[in-house]
Order: sequence, then C-alpha cells, then structure tokens
Amino acid sequence: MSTSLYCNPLGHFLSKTGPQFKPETRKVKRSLFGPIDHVSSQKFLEEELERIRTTQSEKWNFDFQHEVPLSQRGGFQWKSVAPIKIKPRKRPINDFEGQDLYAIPDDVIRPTPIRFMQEKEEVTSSQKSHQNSKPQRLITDFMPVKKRSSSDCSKKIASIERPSKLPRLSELSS
Amino acid sequence: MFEARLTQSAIFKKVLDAIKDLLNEASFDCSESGIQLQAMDNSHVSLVSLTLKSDGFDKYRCDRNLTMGMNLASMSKIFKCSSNDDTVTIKAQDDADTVTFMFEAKKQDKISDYEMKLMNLDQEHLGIPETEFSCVIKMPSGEFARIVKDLSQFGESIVISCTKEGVKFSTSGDIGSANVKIAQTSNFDKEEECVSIDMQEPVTLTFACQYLNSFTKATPLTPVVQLSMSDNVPLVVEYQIPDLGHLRYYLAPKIEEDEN
Repeated sequence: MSTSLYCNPLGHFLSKTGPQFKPETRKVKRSLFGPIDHVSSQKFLEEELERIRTTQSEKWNFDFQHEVPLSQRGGFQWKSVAPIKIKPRKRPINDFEGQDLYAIPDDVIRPTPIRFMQEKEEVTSSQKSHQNSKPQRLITDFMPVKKRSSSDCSKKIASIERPSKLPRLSELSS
Repeated sequence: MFEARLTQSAIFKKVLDAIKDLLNEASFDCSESGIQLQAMDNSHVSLVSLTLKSDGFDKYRCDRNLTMGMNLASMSKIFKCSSNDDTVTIKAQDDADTVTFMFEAKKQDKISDYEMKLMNLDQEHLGIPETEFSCVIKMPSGEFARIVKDLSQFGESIVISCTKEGVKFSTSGDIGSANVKIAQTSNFDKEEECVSIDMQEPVTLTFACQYLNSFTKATPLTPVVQLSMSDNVPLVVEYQIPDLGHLRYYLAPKIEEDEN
C-alpha cells in the first residue's frame, strides 16, 4: 500500500515537471551590490587613472599624455624613436583591444639598401657613352603626331563589334 | 570587301623582309588609291612609310577604307609558304577581324589559303612635312648597302657629308677610322650604276649604323636608292618598288654634343 502510495505521487510529479519547474528557474539577480552609480564610478576611474599617471610621470620624469619630458634635470634622457606623424591615422570605430600590439604595415621602418657601388658604375658608363657618340634625336622631334584620319571609320566599327575595346577618351572628347 | 591580287608574291616577300627588322607589327591602311603603311620603330628613331598604288595590282578592289593591323613576323611566315612566282590574293571582309592570303601556283593546280588574325593596333601617325632637301643623292642600292655594312664594323654611327665633289661616308671607333668617298659618275649609259648628286648646299649629318643597316634590307626591291638630306632634318632613304609604289625610311640624325 505504502509503496503504491509513494509511487503514485512520484509519477504524478514527474508527469508535471515541465510546467511546474518553470517559475523556479527564474533569472538570478545580477545586481549583487545594489544599484550602480555611474557618475561616481566614472569619477573613481578618472581619479585612479590620474593617480597612476602622476605617479608614473614622477617616476619616469615624462608627461605621457603630451609625450614630452617633464623637466630637463630628470634622471632620464628622452629621445623620440618613431618618425613624427603629421596626420594622425584615423582608426576604424570598431577598434578592438590590443590593436596597438600589431604592427600597421606603414609603421614598420625597413632598412633601405644604398647601392652606392652601382651608382658609381652607372656614372662611369654614361660618361663613356657620351664621350663616344652623339645623342640620338627622335623622329617625333621632327614630325608632328597626328591622328589616323583614314582609319577612324574602321576603328569605330571595331569598337561597336568588340565592346571590350572602347574608344579612347581623347577620341571621344574631340 | 577588300581584295588585292598580285601576280608575283615575291614583291610582297621583299617588302616584308625590308620592314620586319624595324617593325614588329604595323597597320596597313587600305583605301581606293592603294595600300599605305606608316609606322615608327620601337625606339621612335626611324619611320617606315610604304605606299603601294592600286594601279600596280593586277586586281584591286576596296569598297570601304580599312585598317588592318598585322603582326609582320606572322605575315612573313605565311609568305614563306609561297613560291616567288605564285599569284597572291589578299582578301578581307569589311567588318572581319581576319585577313586571308591566297596563293595560286602558276604551273600546277594548287591553291593555298592562309587566314591570319588581325590586331587592333593603336599606332601614332606622324605628319611628314614637305621638305626641300639640300642634297639628293641617287646611287646603286647595292653599293649603299655595302658601304653601310662595311663602316658599321668600325663604329656605331656614320657621318654622311655631301659636297660638290661627292659623298663621303665616314666613321670612327676603337680600331680606328674609315672613310668611303664616292664621286658623281660622268657616264649615264647605265642608269642603275650611276651616282648622281643634286646639291643646293653642302650637308653633313650623323646617323646610327643600326638603322641604316636595317634600311638596306630593302635592297633586293630595286637597284637604285635615293638619299635626301637637309641640315637638322631626318634623312630620307627611298626605294622605288617598280610599278607599285615606294618604300621610304626616315631617320632622325644624331646631334652634336656642343648644342646641349
């Protein structure tokens, strides 16, 4: 009897699990420490940042905000390493954290090879050629470049047939 | 429809040999009056101008002006497939992008057809100014070819100076110097062998051997060559194509260094 009595309410219980459990899985309250005061937390952050800035500035004798040394008599000598940018780069709005860790291709300073040996050779060779021969004039120095008048009509036909080869802008404008 | 028929394909072969050294490709402008070609070499130092009159062809028909851009090496390949005494017919439709060369053998019943793709070339056209030349020299074309070939062994450029006495071709280089003088011939028995100088003013100009050598590839076309010179003007080397037209080469001179 007792078992049957025990079994029955369990079966009854299990059959109704779906709708009965729903109110019990309500969301946990996220506000553990009461309502947030945005103004005060912002103020706290700014104060904290200011504190870090001033202490670090005193430590390194450097104004990190303006990127200049605080005074000339400090224990450190500061020198600018990167080339001074005239135009600051406009960053995309969805700036992700840690982007500064990655090099932007333009910022990478690559060593430029100086080919002073080749330049020397070129100079000597050009001097040689100048000594041996006179400079050659071009035929276009003597004759004016004209448009192909006779071929104009046939060119137009060609351009109609083959749309990939369009007439030049200079031809269109005149 | 364009159609031009010539009983001797050899003439076309010679013309191609004469220009394919300087030009890789060229536009053939076909009109009622004939076929014309004008093109500069790659370095823009020389200019080739070819005129083939319609009267010179055995049959000529050109309904509409037509420009055919052709690769000269390919064209030369096709003409190498023909015998010298074959009859050649050049055919093209008005709106086609190919040209057909038909060769008919004289002795046997043999007809060969070669179709070649045309190119759409965008070449500059130069206005050749009318010039009164100070010196016009006519001489055997073989002689001119020989002189240019000989002198180009010694230097990169040839100085051509024309005076009343005659024409002097000279050059100098690492080995030394070379001079060839030819005087006007007095006997006019054989027109092909005589040297004639029509001179208003003496002229001395310097030209690059390389181009002159390329010009002499036209020597098989005709026994006489005509050189026209004026101070500070391109040299004109002209070869007449018997009954058909002419082939002219223009070459810009080299200038004195003192001018700069």
